[in-house]
Amino acid sequence: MTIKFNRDETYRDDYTFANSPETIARVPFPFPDDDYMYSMNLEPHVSVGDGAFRAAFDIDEHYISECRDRAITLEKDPGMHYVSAPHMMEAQWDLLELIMESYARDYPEYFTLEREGRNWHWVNRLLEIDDHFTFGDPATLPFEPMEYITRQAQGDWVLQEERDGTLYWGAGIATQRADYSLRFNLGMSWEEFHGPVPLVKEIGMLDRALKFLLRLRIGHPVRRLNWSLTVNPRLEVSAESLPEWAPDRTIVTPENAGKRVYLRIELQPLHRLPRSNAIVFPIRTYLLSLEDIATNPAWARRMHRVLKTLNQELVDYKGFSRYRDAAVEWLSQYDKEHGKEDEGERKAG
Amino acid sequence: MLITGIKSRPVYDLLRPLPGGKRHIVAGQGSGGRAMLRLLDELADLGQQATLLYSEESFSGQNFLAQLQQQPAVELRVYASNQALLEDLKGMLGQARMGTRLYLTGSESFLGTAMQVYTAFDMNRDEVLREHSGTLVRRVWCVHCDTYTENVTQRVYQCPGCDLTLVVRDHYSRRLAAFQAVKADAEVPGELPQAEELDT
Amino acid sequence: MSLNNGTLNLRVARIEAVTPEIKRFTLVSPDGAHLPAFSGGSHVVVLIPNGQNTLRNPYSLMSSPYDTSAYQIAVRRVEDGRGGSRRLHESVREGDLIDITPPVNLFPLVKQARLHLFIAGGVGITPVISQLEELRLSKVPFELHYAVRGPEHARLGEELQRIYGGQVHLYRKGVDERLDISSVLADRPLGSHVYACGPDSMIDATLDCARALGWTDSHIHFERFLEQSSGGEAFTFTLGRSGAKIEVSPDQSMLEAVEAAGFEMPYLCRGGACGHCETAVLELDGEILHTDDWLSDEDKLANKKIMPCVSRAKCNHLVIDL
Repeated sequence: MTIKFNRDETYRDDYTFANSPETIARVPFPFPDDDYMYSMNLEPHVSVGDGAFRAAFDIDEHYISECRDRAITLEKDPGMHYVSAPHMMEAQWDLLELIMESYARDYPEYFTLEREGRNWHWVNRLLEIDDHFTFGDPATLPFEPMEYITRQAQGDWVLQEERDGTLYWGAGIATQRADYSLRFNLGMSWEEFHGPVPLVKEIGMLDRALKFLLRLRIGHPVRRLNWSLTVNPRLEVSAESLPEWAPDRTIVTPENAGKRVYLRIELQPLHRLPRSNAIVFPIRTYLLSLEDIATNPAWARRMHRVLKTLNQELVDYKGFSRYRDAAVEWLSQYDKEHGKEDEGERKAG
Repeated sequence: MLITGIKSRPVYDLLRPLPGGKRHIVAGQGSGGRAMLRLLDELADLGQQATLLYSEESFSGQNFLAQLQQQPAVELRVYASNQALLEDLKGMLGQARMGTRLYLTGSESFLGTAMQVYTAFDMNRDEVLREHSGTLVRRVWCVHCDTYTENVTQRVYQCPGCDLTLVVRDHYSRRLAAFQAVKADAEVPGELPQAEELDT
Repeated sequence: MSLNNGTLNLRVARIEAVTPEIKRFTLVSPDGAHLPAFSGGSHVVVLIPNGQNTLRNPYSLMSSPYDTSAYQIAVRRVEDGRGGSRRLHESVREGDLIDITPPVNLFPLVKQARLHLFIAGGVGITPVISQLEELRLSKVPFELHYAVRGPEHARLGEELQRIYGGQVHLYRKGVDERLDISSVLADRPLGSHVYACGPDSMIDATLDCARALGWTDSHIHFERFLEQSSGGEAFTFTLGRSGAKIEVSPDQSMLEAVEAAGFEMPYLCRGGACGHCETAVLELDGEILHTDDWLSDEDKLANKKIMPCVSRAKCNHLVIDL
């Protein structure tokens, strides 16, 4: 499988990011039904087809540009987007091993890993990296192991340590986070970091999901999908930079929503890590404009219904109260049989 | 005890003698002196004494120093500020041995910053108790400029670090021992959320 | 290397006697691939064919978590056991293929610890060996206090002394002073953790001494010898869902009897520690002999739950929810 990489896209300023039809076709569309509510949508992370579920950690045409955007964000504000507690070093090596093994196995044309005991040789042809290092010895790498490998990986990555029957944020790299602060969340327990999420506690899902994850076993990863909306194909939407990007929420109109509003799909393939017993939460983000979605009329129809009927508390939490109506109106052209006149009926159903 | 709908806010304890302890350290601040006195009575019933650390810093002006001085204790150390108490506590824990029990009482800010101190010594939930006392003022962290503001009582306030008008989110970080605040009018400049008193 | 029905099929690369009773087995992938990574304190379950049945014996991994080109386990020959260790000692040869389950860790190191203290006896040293390998990357100090029944049983301890020097304290019966657990634990800094693995008497002594010194349970960790925990008198019980009657022979656990009858139930440690096989008791006329470390004392008194991997019953009638 050969990917044609977009080498010079931007996720800021002039926003030249664009999806090819092939990339649109392979994203994991997150809406199985016309109504959306949180659910235990965890399934075994086994290889399926040749889309986003083929590899353990999916890469696509945006790999090179996304890695560059991460580097820009990291350089701009050191200490803000990559944080690790000191006792997470085993977990960091676990993660480095998992990503290197997975990329080398799933994309042998781009990545090679050679191991002689603890002497490792890593080649990343896409970013022109060729490094020898000693596994377990941080002095042999230019960054801490987690930062080193995730600078070469798509998506955000959070390491959760297991302690006292719950999970704690122990380390993370997050240059694509949706309105949260990594420094603030570090050290929080499962219950604490889900605190702001509406409804999820009330429907009993948090406790069940935690129990499930605590039983997660090495070699048996699971995946789930989450989603949000954002204005412009901007990856860096942290709480810290809120003043930079929140004003964009006011510019959406029913006319420009197709170009301006992006669905952020988060694919999260969760793995238990072998030495640290930590769990890694990768958050691999796919950005699709509503126009991209409309290239598949069934998706556009489905998304129209989802956005129209979505619980207002979730809309507030996901941060698009200001432009939900504009997005719904733009999408309505793809859902003629569910026009404005039967809104009441939809909500009742 | 604090009971709010904020799921990330710590659930505090009531101070009571922890079983099996060989040495008891009781550290409190301002109105927390009341809980210290209660705990000392209970420890005395078990024939045990404690090392006492008391800071006279108080948001409400309450001071229990005179009563604490009447109590039999291994030692009573007094500080003008919470910061000075915590510095000394850090040194004390560095010398302490397994079998130590730690009891903390005071404002949420005091408890939170004390937790940062004892967590570094790997003290766990079965070795430490924390009782909240006094008002519900918050210690708040500005996500934009990294400034901590003590004793915040309003939902919307001005950050002394970056001058932005901030809104306090109902979200607490144990590592930073603070609530989070973000720019209140980030979407439309000047369009502020409704002012309200926190926790009312 | 292949993973079939959740087990790894490995080649026995080397067998060496390390004491009169203990043999060390080195296991590698037949195709030379790296084995699944693990953490210090992990164990695997070795599947040992035994006539019609399969014995499943858990053994701690004693090799380095940072070199997964091979696994090592130490097998102590138990004369009065169910025969699993005897078969491994007598029938398995270098070059043979054996099945094991992937590693699971129920005895992990505490990553926030400021001092690790290990107390081990006899073959209980095995999980500690991989834990010490893991600590090589850490700057946290540790001490190992290791007691053996005599100089001829001391080889693993002497190997560790050569690697770690003065951090390893060896107590050879008849040669060295006796291990005094109370003085090992006395006067330790905050954030110390003790890990005990050895005979029941040693674990109980560690628990007693630590608590007497004011240590709280979150700083005390132990793993009992797993192999010795089964065995007793024969009894019969019923599976509530299928109505099947299961006979448990003196050398079988309830879990093994369930598996021998062709049923499956969840398990991990097979030693009464992890909680995976916890099963509700639906009906009981008699008493349950709880021998696990999982159920609380209240649970054990209430007799509403049982851990079939280790616990047994002395009863006329027992129905469990399976």
